Order: sequence, then C-alpha cells, then structure tokens
Amino acid sequence: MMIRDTFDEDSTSGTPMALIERDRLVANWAAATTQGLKRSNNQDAFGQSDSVFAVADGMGGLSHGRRAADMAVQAVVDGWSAPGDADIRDLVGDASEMVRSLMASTETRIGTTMVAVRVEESRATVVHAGDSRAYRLRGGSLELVTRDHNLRGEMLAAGIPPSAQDVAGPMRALTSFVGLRREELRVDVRSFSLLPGDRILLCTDGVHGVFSHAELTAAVAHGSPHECAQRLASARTSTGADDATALLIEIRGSDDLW
Amino acid sequence: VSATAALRLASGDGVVARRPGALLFSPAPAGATLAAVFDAAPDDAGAIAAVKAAVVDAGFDVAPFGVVTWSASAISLLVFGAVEIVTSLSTVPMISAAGSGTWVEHQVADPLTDGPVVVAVNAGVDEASDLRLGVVRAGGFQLELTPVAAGATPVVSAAAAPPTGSTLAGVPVVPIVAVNPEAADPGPVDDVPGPVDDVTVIAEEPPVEAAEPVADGPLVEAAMCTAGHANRPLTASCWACGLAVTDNAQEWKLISQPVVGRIVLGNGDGVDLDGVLVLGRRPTLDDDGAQAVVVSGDDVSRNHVRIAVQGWDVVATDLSSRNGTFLQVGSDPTPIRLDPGVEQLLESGTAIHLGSPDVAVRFERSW
Repeated sequence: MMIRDTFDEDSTSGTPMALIERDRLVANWAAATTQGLKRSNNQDAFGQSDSVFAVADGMGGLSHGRRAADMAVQAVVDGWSAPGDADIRDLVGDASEMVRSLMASTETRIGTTMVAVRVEESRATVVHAGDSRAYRLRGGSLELVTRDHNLRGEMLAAGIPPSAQDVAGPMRALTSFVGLRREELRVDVRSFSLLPGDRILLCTDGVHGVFSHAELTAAVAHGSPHECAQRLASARTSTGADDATALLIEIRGSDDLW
Repeated sequence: VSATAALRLASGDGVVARRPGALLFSPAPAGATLAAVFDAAPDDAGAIAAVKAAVVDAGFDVAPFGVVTWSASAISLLVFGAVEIVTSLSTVPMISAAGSGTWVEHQVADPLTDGPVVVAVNAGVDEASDLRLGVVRAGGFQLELTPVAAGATPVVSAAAAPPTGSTLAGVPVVPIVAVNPEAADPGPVDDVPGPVDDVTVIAEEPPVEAAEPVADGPLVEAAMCTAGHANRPLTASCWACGLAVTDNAQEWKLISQPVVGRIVLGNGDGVDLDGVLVLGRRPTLDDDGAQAVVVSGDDVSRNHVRIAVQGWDVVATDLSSRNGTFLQVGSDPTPIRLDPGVEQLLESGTAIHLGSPDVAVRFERSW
C-alpha cells in the first residue's frame, strides 16, 4: 500500500511486482499532483497497492477535504487489493461512512470524489463516485470509460435538456461523492478489456477540465508514464485554481517487459 | 373522495399563482417570471414541466420558489432555493431546498385519509382571502385541503372558478407587472453556502431523479461533423464520412438516444441497439422497455446476459448465469469472463459467448 505523503507537489512511479509475477499483462505506472494556486493545501490524493490504483479530489475547508480524499484512497486500495472478494461497492460505502464520521467530528461539510481501477489479467475494473475520471488509450484514441455524476448527466438521462451555456456552473454540481449517506451514494462499477499497449489514465477535474480532448489524447499517448503524469498535472487553467492529479498506467505484454 | 382547496394569502412582495390543482409561490418579486410561465400552461401537469424547463433554461439562476400540486390521492411538493414550505402532514413537517443546487421534490400519497391538510409558507395570512385562479402579489400562502365525500360538489370546479384572470376575494388584487428578467432580483439562490471547494459544487440533496422527463427518453450529447452526422463527443473524425468532428462542447447537440450498434445472432439476424436487450433461453423481463432475445443452447440460462445502451456506450452484464458469459475481444485469444452484475464495456467486433464457446452473438458498433 502506497499513499503519497503530505508533499503538495509530488510524483511517484513504479511497477507493481504482484502484477509482473501473476499476470500475462503488466503495468508500469506513475502519478503526479500539483497544488492549485492560492490553495493553502492540496486536496487531491492518489494511492496504489498491488494492482489497484486510485485518485480522489477532496472538498472541504482547512485540511478536511484532503483527509477525506486520503481516507477514500486508502480504504479502496487496501480493501480491493486484499485477498478475498470484498464487494467494491461496500468498500466505497464504508469509506463514505468514515468521511461522514469526520464530518460529524469537525462539524463541516466534507466530501471527496473517487476513481479507482483494478488491473486484472485481460481487463480492468473501474469504480467511481463523482467527477474524477478514468480513460483508456488504445491505438491512439482516448476513450472516457466513466460517466461523471453531476446534475447535467442526471438531467440528460431523465430526458431534460440543460441549456447550452451550462457546461460549467450549476450543471457541474455533483450528484454522488464519497461522504453521502450510503443510501444516497451512487457508485458505478464497470469493466473494460485490456490489450498490450493500452494505457489507463485516472485524473481529477483539475486535469480533465484543463485540456481539450485532443490535447489530452496527445498528452497521454506520448512519453513515459512518468513524463505524461508530470505533463498532465502541471498544466493549469488561466486561473490555476484547482489541484490537479494524474495517474497513468501502461499495459504491456510480459514478453515486452525486460 | 375528492378535495376542496382554500388558498389564503399573506401580504408581501412575492408572488402566488393558482391553477385548478396547483400553485406556485415565490417570496421574491422576480418569481413573477416563473409565475407567468406556470400560469400560461394549458394544464396543471404541463405547468410544472414548463416551470422546470424554465429553471433549467435559466441555468438555475432563478428566484427561489415552491410548487404544490394536489388531488385527493396525492400532494406533491417541489421547492427550489431558500423557501420553507411547512405542512400538517407528519411525514413532511417542512421541506426546503436551501443549500441545494437543484430543486427538491416530495410526494405524499392519500394525504387526506386523516382529515384536512394544511400546506403553508409564512404565517399571517388574511383569513378572508381566497385565491381561485390567477397570479397575484403575496408574501405567503396557506392552502387548506379538505376531503369531500363522493357525490358532494367540490368547491373548486369550473363553475366556481372564472375561466381567466385573477379572482381574489377579500383582499385587493394587485396586478403583477411583467418583470424584465435581466433586471430581476435573482433572489438569495446565489447566496447559498454551496461551494465548499472553489470549483466543485456539491449538492446536499439527492439528485433530480424525481424530475419529470421532458423528452420521451434519455438525451444524448452528440458532436456533429461538418456534414451534419451525429458522433460520439470526443472523437477525432466522423464514423460515417471521416470529416472532422467538433471538439467544442458548446457546439454539441442533444439528440434522442440513437441506434449505436447491433447484436448479430448466430443465424446472421441483427437486433438494433438503442435500449436494453435481455438474452437467454427464455428471458423474463423486469426492465421497463427491455427486449427479449431468445438464444438457444443447453448451456444458456433462462436470463443469461443483459446488453444495454448508455449514451454512446454499450455494456454487457452477466445475469448470474449458471455457465457464465465470456467475451472474446478482437484477436485476443484469452476470453474475459464477466463478473456477474458488473457492467462490461463492449467494443465493436466482440464475440459474446453464452455459457459455451459454441453459442455466440457478436456486437457491432455502428459509429
């Protein structure tokens, strides 16, 4: 289990040994995070254990958002990588209860988004709540595999047309995040296939909100995972207000490894 | 059993609009814009839908308001922003959307079984007032619903209410002057302590699941190519003609759920995908609108695998089949066994094996 420590500008990379030993597919990975300008601390978190990777974007005053993000990342990477067959929805629900306990003890509103992926033999399973995202790069094309839990998405699903101007603003209000009551929490779980050469990107909105899709595709496709993660996390909006975190996983056939 | 409705008003700068079985209240003068929309709709249900659409069109930048609809069998409450509606119903003593980015809805079935029900905002109503229809200036209201035994003449009827205009017995009717939306006070909605993060707003209340659909089915965002073909957003070039597709989210269109592909059965027949299919030996359908597809085979379960369209994506979910569902993706020789209950994103050309390598259907994407 690796949770990055309290540095606010940080990057980590490595190759999970468990994957190399066990599976046909292996992953090199790297992550980087950058604190938003004018922020007193970085509220994003990332972590990895075995073949489980997670990114979270905390919300809340003081350092509470960051603590919520750490809690969610830790609960999911520990629980999902442990032997046995823990239900990932239960793990996220447990994390939400923990965040609610923190909320009660600090008497502030706290929450965090969370996206995590578990790399399995020929596929990956992704779980998320909120608007942090997972993408798969294959053959030069970058595909979004999560669907943001926000008001806009809910309205479209219900057949209600939001107005065109509302790409930002109230339409981005989250309709699910870690820190809601268990019965209100919506957790989506999806699997997708993996082939040698694929890359997986997990990121917070400080990354996907900054790049156009074409820019994001180019930034994920070129360079080592470490270079990509650094590039993605260090780009800023003009205001540079938001924390930005990118975690990149590269899938290779075991023949390509050494 | 039917119900009579008496609507009393308190003085103030807000607005109340009354229809035969529904009312809208806003404490802010700017609420007149919504009241006019509410009042102009052809029927009560249409009035609620029209108000919701107006709120969405305005990007939720509207005055706080509440809508109450009633019949003998149900009372529905909808609030947006800092309006507190109190009721005499034990299940809903108060409903408010203060602090929420969206509206909040609540419905109570058979509300009149224990006698009259009162729904109100603000005390101090004029007991002599009784608004039957129309739009007036007011600072609060009190709606009293009284059950009427079958056969009795309900007070609210076409005969009792004039067909058009405002009727307000007991208090002077102050006509509402149309409010210029640009000059209107947006109300305290902007002041809610919503964002705890300077970019991401979190909603305190659950999402708008209860919102009534305006379209028949889900809406899907589409990026158009220069020739006008609808494409999945965030694709580089058009699936149909290869021309460039706009990357600008402002230019994306909303379209009804398109057919995004098809399932090709063993005999070569194709089934278009724009909803939900349940494949199995003898499928039983729980899903609204799901389509059954019979696939024969000794190893095929009665309900084997569910294939669903989600926007531009297609996902397959094993329905806890006895012998499992396996995917063969492209030329990859290693099949993927689906975890029961977990959606698997499908790629074009994927073969879906139901229980045995001998039984397969194929997914073909049309874009």
